[in-house]
Amino acid sequence: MSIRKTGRTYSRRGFLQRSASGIAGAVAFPYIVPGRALGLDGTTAPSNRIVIGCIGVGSQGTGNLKSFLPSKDVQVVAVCDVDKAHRDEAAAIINKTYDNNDCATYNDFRDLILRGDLDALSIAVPDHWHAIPAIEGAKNGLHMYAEKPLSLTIEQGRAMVDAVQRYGVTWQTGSWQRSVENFHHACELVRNGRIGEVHTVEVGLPTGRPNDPQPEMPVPEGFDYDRWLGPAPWAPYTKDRCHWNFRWILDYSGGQLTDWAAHHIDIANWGMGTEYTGPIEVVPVEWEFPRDGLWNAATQYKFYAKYPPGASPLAPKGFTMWVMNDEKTDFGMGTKFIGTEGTVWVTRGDERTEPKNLWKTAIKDDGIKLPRSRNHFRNFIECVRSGEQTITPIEPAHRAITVAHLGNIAMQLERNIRWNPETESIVADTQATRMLGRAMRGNWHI
Amino acid sequence: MAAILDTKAIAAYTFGSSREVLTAAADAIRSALADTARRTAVNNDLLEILSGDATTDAKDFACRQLWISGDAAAVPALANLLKDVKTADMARYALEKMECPEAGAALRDALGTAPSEVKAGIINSLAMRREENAVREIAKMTKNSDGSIAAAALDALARIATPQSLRRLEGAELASGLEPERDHALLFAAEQLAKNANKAAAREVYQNLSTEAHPEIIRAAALRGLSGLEDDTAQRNTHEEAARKLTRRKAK
Repeated sequence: MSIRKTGRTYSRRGFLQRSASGIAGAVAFPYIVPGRALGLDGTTAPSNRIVIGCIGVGSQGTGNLKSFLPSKDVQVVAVCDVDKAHRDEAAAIINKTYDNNDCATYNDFRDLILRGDLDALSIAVPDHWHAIPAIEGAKNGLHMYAEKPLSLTIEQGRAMVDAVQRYGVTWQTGSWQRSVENFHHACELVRNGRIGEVHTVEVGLPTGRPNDPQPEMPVPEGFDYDRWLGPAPWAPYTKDRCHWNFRWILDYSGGQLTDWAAHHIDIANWGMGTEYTGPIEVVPVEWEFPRDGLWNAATQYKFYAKYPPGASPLAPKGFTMWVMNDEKTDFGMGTKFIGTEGTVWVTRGDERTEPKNLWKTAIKDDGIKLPRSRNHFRNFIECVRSGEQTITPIEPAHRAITVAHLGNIAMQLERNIRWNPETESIVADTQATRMLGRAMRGNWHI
Repeated sequence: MAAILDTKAIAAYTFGSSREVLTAAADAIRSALADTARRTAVNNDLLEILSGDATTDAKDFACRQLWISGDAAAVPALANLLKDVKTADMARYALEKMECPEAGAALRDALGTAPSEVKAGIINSLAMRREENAVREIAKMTKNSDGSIAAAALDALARIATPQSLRRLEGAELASGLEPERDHALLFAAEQLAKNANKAAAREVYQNLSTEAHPEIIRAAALRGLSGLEDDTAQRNTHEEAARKLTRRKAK
């Protein structure tokens, strides 16, 4: 696997092979290479392992890291986080797993990317930071497992898709529901016309909550707050702005709506076969943005997206996708497909169909089969090796979150948004068009 | 039209206090968007906040609102903010997406007058706007001793992606160590040219980058770019296969 660095091409495996030759030739020294290092104990030899660096090792990133560690054909060698406490903790987990002290730690993701020995990145940073390391990773030929939602803005999402496709790297979005049996089966039922023509899809996502105004606080020692803000507008530090809570602030994310749309709208698109297109109009119905306090993302939301005839093979007359917080649905969270001959509702750990026995029916061999994965992380590693497409490629992730971004724009402007999914442009609305992207702070850019 | 916003209360806003005054103002601005006279009135209120001794937090709010509601009338006040390191980022926040040519001209003019710390950001905003009129000035900065300015200039020439900017990009004198960045920028430029229906120019760039003089990842990307330009399936497959061999031949 080659890594481009300062304009030349380096081969990590070639380097290791040259090192190995040097060792083999040094017969004067009684050097014994452990069998484990050569893969003789059933493990994978180092030169054949997928070498991973992790960017962002807070709670989500550490969870992802722990999912990679058990794989014998993977080696995590470095972590990067702007919070020293996070990166030290993650490094300790890695070192304990490998029984050494080799894990390198970085504050700046660019230093990690330019190590020159990586094959892949695991990226789990706040949404406002998604685009920049992803594009840099692609430019350096690195494959990426990266957290959802794909982007902060539609403009950034498109830039990410283009970069990943330009450099031909493998991409897995952390929308892991695709790797779970019941979501897969639900989508296959819909795809195979088991509920007839689909006219409506309902998506239920969590309800948000507001908080109070927060005081400015001193930045904790070891936390590089300026870098945490990165491309976002400068703002005073306060604890509830950062780490997990970035999700509820529109400078960094889109609230519960975008956080979960990347799961349940993704499933809606997977079932409907609309992963590479989008709606033509988004209509806001109900919304509530906190009028005070630090958090400003929508806590209550309801909008619908209109898909034209032909957008989905299952909806010859077009269909409507409703997106709302769970208090507004009759099923809570999840994705519900409503067709002329039945319904399929699916969520984490549960599902329901009408007719009831529909769920038990199998898809025959000559039916439409969706790609299959039962381990999202292994699917990524296997695709890195094979060059095949992952279960959640980047373009579908972009198309899923685009629906949520358009919903947020429509609710913020309190008006319908017409959308051209071919050109990915808003029709005849200059003010809404501006909201497709935002200027980045300082020198950061996509 | 008389003032619509409570500019005095907004100008006094500081982070940590209740932002209800800002929410009420945002409501008023949103409801004025479709009415030219009312939009002008609220924008004038926002400009009053920008030009007075309002708090930094209040000025930030004004810039965020002008991102959506602003027009050419707001440009002089925002241009003034580009001169100050503390306010330049939020000025760009408002200016970058404005459709009016005055916004582009203000950013371009600021290249000559703004502090060096904010120049890379200004170049990035000009790039996002695809400001053709700024190509000459941007091209002068590819050799800047500040690496972030030089790199931003290269990327900007790529993103603007006109025949003129492409020529400047190809012929640019570079700051030390930026040669690989030019390859990436050329790839990006070729992609933009292809999207803008200038396939001939895109093909030429891709063909140049697909030679052995370039790193494998660049060559592979160029081959993929060539593939995307082909109407002939067999030719497309040939390029795709060559790209795959380059990127996968050392895969494990």
